[in-house]
Amino acid sequence: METLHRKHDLPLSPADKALLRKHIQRKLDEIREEVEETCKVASDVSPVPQQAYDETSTLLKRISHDIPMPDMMWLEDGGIGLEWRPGDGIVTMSLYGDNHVTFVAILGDQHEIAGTCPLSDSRILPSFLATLPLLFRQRM
Amino acid sequence: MNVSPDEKVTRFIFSRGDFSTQNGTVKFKAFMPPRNREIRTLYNPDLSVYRISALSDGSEKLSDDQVWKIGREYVQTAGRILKARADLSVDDVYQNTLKVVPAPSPHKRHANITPFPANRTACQRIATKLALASELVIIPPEEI
Repeated sequence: METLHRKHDLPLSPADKALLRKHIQRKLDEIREEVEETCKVASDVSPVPQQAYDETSTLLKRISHDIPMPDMMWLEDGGIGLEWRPGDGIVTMSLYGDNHVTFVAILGDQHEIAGTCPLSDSRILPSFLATLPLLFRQRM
Repeated sequence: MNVSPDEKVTRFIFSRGDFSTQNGTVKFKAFMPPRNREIRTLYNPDLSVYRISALSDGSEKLSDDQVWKIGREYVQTAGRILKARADLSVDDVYQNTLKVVPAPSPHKRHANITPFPANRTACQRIATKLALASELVIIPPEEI
């Protein structure tokens, strides 16, 4: 997991914002290249729609800068996946370009959150995103 | 008959995006079942794995070399080259209310983790839990 994080979740400077945008774009370009290469040789893989790349980029800019950047991957059924490993836990998200995000957080045997909601959701998604820095503070 | 919870199974991995060498983990993506071919919004119930422990018919536990050989001969294709595998205790599968059922084609050690739920949230939840429980094994250079 690459770290592009700061000690406190203060607003990013314009230079840091540009760096973050560039980093996200580079990662998505790498994924796009791998998807294109794989689609040429494997018939059971779905291409990732442009909308999924756009949604991932937008979502990542909404996530606190206080946590590491997630590992980003393409999903063979046409989506983009994000994964964090806070200590012994795991957090995953997936986006398929349908204006929805699926999220799962598992922390130990007892604590688990999972759901799918529209990216425009004003309650569940912001709450989930706000929880992420807490998970890292407790588990790192 | 279901596979014993004492056994281990392995899921072969063909994409570098399915694992992290940096922290030695398998990504949830490796445990997502394929989509249903007819209804693309749903998932197939079966996820293909291979049994690597000793079997009740007297077959011995497979060596690492034997496991990679199965991957190369029965799973790898020209366009999808074996990169790693995710070993998983069958007991971890059962703890997620799934079963491991022998499906001895194309190889007698082939099995399916089943039945994955059809919807996206439930599938990702289980795939995430299996990824957390699994152990990454990278293919040695001489096996490539």
